[in-house]
Amino acid sequence: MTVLELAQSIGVRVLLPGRPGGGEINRIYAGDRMSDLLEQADAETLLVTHLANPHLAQVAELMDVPGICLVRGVDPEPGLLAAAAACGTALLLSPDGLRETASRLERSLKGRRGP
Amino acid sequence: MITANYPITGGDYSASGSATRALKEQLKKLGIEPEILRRIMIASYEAEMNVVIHARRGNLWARLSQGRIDIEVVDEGPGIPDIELAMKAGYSTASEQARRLGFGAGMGLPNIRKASDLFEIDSQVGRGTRVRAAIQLQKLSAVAAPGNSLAVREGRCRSCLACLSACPTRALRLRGGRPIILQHLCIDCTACLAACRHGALALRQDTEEQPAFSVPQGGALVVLPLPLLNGFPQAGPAEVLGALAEMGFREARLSEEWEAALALAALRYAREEAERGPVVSPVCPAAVNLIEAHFPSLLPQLAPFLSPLEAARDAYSLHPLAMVPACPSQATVLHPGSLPGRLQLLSPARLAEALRPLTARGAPARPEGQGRPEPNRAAVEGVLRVTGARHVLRVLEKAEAGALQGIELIEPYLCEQGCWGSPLFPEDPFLSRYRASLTDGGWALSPGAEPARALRRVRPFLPRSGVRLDEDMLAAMRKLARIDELVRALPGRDCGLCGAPTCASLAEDIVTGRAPETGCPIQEHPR
Repeated sequence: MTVLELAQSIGVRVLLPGRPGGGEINRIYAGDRMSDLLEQADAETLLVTHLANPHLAQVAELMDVPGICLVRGVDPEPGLLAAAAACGTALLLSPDGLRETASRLERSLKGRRGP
Repeated sequence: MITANYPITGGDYSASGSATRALKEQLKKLGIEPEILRRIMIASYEAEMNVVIHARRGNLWARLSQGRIDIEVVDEGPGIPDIELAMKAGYSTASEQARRLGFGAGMGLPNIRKASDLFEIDSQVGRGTRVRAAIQLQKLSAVAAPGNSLAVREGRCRSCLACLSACPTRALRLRGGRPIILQHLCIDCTACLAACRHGALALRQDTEEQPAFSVPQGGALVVLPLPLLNGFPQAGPAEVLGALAEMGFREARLSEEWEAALALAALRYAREEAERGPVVSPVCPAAVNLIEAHFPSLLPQLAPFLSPLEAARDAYSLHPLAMVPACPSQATVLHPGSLPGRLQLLSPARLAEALRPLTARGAPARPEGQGRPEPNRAAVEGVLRVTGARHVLRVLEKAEAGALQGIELIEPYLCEQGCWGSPLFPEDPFLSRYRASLTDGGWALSPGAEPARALRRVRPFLPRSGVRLDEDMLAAMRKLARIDELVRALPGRDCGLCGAPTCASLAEDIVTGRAPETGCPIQEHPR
């Protein structure tokens, strides 16, 4: 399932579409500590986080992460949009909290993959 | 070796991550597996962010060599007063600013350790911290025999068969009037060199046309074995060091410095970390080869360190360096091809040849300086130092059988009398040792140089695959049965006339296609 398909499936806002064609997502990881995000990230993971600073885009770029979903409708800090655009990372924005957003994404991903 | 250096500015969050990003750009060109690249990125980014968060400035060094990457981050900062505490997950002294950005959760150092095959950290309060992480670039399985540094000198062999019976692993055959080295069995020791009175076997560097030796402009460091300093009848260590300085070497250090560092580290490992004993020190690469080829059950007992010369090479990885291996196995592990232009291997014979005229006419002695390592280390309880292939084989057999009670550490040397006894040295070991015992350290040896340190190895010790009779176990069992049958039919004289050292070796050669069925001259022409 691509980042954009996943975004559409739970109705979150797409701030940046990321790479053309969108990256394939097979896993959701939610967390607020940069070290955890770094350690769990890979080329098939969508990161979900309260953080909204440009360092997120750095982690995404280094770990080839296809997309990041911000939560609670937070405004991305200056620099995050530009940094994410520069490295082709999709940026999504959910109005819900971390846990709820991650659960909905996970359900959608599992629903598409089947039990 | 490829080396890259990226500066890091402490406190500059806007530029943070740029060193790791630049490193990734370089690594992408190498086609490294994604999972391994991921681990490199974790180690590098965490180490870089530690400098940004805690230090004034730092440098990230990345070195690629021999199938691994070494990432070293050195900073100028406050240092870490308690490394054990800093390594605990969740412990952090990061600022509020760092925490607001999601950093400073106390997971950086544990993450680096988890992502690396080797992790080292040292720190001095008030000065700074050095973190080293090394990651193997390929997944590992059993390894084929590495190349060796033994070579045959054409036209010298007199077919005396002395080398056949001397080889502890029966790796030599005599075919067409010259020795043949079976690479998969050869452990790169010096037994055949010592046995051959005709010079038919030699260190590869001594058999090939070598470019004229030259010390690079600006000088170079030379690492040489202590027996060479005491190997000249008319010149003591001070005069030999003076001659080296005259040749252009700005600094000289002894292999024995790293040997002593390894001895301490291996004993500490045996007493504090090892799960199984006795631990075997990797001090002699030929002994390590022997274990990889013939004692695979002892592999977990090898202390996970580099050999002394490898550690010396890595300590000076950015400097022009000349190294004098004491034996073929040391020459092989140094891989000069991986450091073109920076590392030169000098055989003891070549160095002795270059030094002889200088020492004979009396080069000025180096002034007095710091001392030398003890040539005759006193016995340490629990440490068994064993030299000579025959004795090493016997001790390893006992270790395998669990019959070495009270021994914590084995230091095996394939040469008789350890490295002193290498046949590559021009002087008899008893004479050079005697001369060494007369000197009292009154000669200079790189005053102020960093003390030698033992280095943990990244690549694990692995069994050699080439020793198996067949990849397919059933086929191997059939071959083994056929060997047994042939051995019973052969005369059992182990005379060597067939060109194999023993009847059992000939039987194996027949079964593996290295010798014809009619290989035994006694059977073919009985008297």
